[in-house]
Amino acid sequence: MTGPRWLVPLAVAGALLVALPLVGLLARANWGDLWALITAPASLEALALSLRTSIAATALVLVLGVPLGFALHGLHGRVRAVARAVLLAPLVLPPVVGGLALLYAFGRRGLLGGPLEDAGVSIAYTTVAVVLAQAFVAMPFMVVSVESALATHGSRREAIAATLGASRTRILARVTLPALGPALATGTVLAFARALGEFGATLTFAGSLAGVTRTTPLEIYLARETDPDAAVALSIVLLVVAVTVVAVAYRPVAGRAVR
Amino acid sequence: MRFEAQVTVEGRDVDATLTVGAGRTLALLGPNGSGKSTALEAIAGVVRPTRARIVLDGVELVGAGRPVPPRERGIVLLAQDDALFPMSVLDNVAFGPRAAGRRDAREVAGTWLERVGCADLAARRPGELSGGQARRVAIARALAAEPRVLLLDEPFAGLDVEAASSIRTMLRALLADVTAIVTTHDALDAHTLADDVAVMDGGRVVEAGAAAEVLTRPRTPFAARMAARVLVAGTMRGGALELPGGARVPVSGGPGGGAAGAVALPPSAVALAVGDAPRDRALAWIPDAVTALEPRGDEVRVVGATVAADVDATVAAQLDAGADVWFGVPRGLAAYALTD
Repeated sequence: MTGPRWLVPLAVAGALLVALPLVGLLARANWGDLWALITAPASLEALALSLRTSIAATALVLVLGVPLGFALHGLHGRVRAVARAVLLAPLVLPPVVGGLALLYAFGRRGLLGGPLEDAGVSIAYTTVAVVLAQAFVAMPFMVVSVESALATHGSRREAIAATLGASRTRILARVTLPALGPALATGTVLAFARALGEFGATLTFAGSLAGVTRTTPLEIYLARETDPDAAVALSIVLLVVAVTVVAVAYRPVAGRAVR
Repeated sequence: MRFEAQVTVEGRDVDATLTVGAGRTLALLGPNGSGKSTALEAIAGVVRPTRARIVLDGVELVGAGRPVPPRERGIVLLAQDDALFPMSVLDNVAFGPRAAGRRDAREVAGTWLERVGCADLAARRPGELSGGQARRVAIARALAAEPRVLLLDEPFAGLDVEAASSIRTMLRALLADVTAIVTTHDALDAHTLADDVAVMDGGRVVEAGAAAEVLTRPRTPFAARMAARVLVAGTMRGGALELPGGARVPVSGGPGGGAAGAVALPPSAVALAVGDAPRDRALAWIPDAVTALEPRGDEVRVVGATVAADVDATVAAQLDAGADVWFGVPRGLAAYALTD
């Protein structure tokens, strides 16, 4: 469907708003030294930390977010609405608020952090804190993917599988999860991308300790005044990842039907 | 040794009681929307019944106490939509044996695929099957689970005539020793597959008994229609059926004078005469008026208040609803008692 013509200039303005900054970034890049900038020790350290923590956070999101999606799907009415609102809040919560919240939960004087601290376990300002912050902001992507996939999937095949004598675990592993494959893939890719880009919650809850909690976005923020070329080079790496992720996660869904 | 199920599903206005003898096949015959599928799904546990009592071989599976979960009932449902799982055909058929912990699940599945003529499809995915193939695979999957009771929901629905006919022949052999309930809206399926028939209307079983009895001696006009017959019902008087309108149809046998009796015959065996046209004296003629004209292929069913006849479309083309007609019924048909 094409709309009226006056939509066109507005669409162009919108496209410029999104695309122009990206072009600006690319225009500012020092292409000759790009590889050297990316492979500089500080950059590599940040990239490696980002990769490790994001993979760990994504794994955490898969292990906890999928059951959470199932649980949310199993709730009804107002309980479900409230639970969904709470669980999906990190989607729209300012990350710095999330970081603060994490601090009061897992920090030295936090709800759970206090007792942990007494037991000799410290979380805040460690790599574990980075992973928790990333998982906190990335979890909703998986929960929402799984829940909406379950809503359209129905439960008929599962019921038939039960009449064939299958246990709930077998039905989950062999019938439900394979059918949710595309949704799980989308949730995983989006969660990974969100974890990779996490900044505010990480800075607040984990700090910016080189090699320990200074992930790529933090490194970019710190380097932007001292070494703008390095900041831009790292930004381009994240930009490439972002574009790739979007291309993968938002493929047209046609032809993915189960039957 | 038998299977008894009484299920009530209030949301869908279904309240049915079904009984099947061990190794026998019961056809649940009824039009679309009569609640057949819901009854089966409630028995299998796919739909939650409002109330249910299911007894198999004297053991109460569902009843007063905590119901036996569907996976332990041994009641397998073959759904109308096949409901194949997103895995290979072989894995689909091996699903039941694997769930039962059998180590030879693959071999069992292979054997069943051969029996349904689909051995060459083992590696395919459900999306790569034709409608007939998918149905055969679903049948193999259901039987490979070694059900104590097999429920088949319209096993020929949505298939082309050829596939339906070959699967009908196949099922007839496969179901020989299986305790099964088959839903259908087709009297022919009931004839070929079933030992017993229950006729369902509006969520209730309105008539039940041996297939030969229900299909050839229906007791209600509805059951007669489902059996593809018309019911000529009246009161026995002096070797003939006296119809409510006064017409007399000479019959053989039947109950004593004054009792309610009937004959049932296929609508194709009923003759039709219009107006003053000469009428065959070998037939008993019943005056009636057309209430409906139902096209059926190259024939039209002319329905009256008491009887119906299948006639050539060219004959029916001259008729309108309300037209006066004569229905001709052969004399001397075997009458049977109608007891309410």
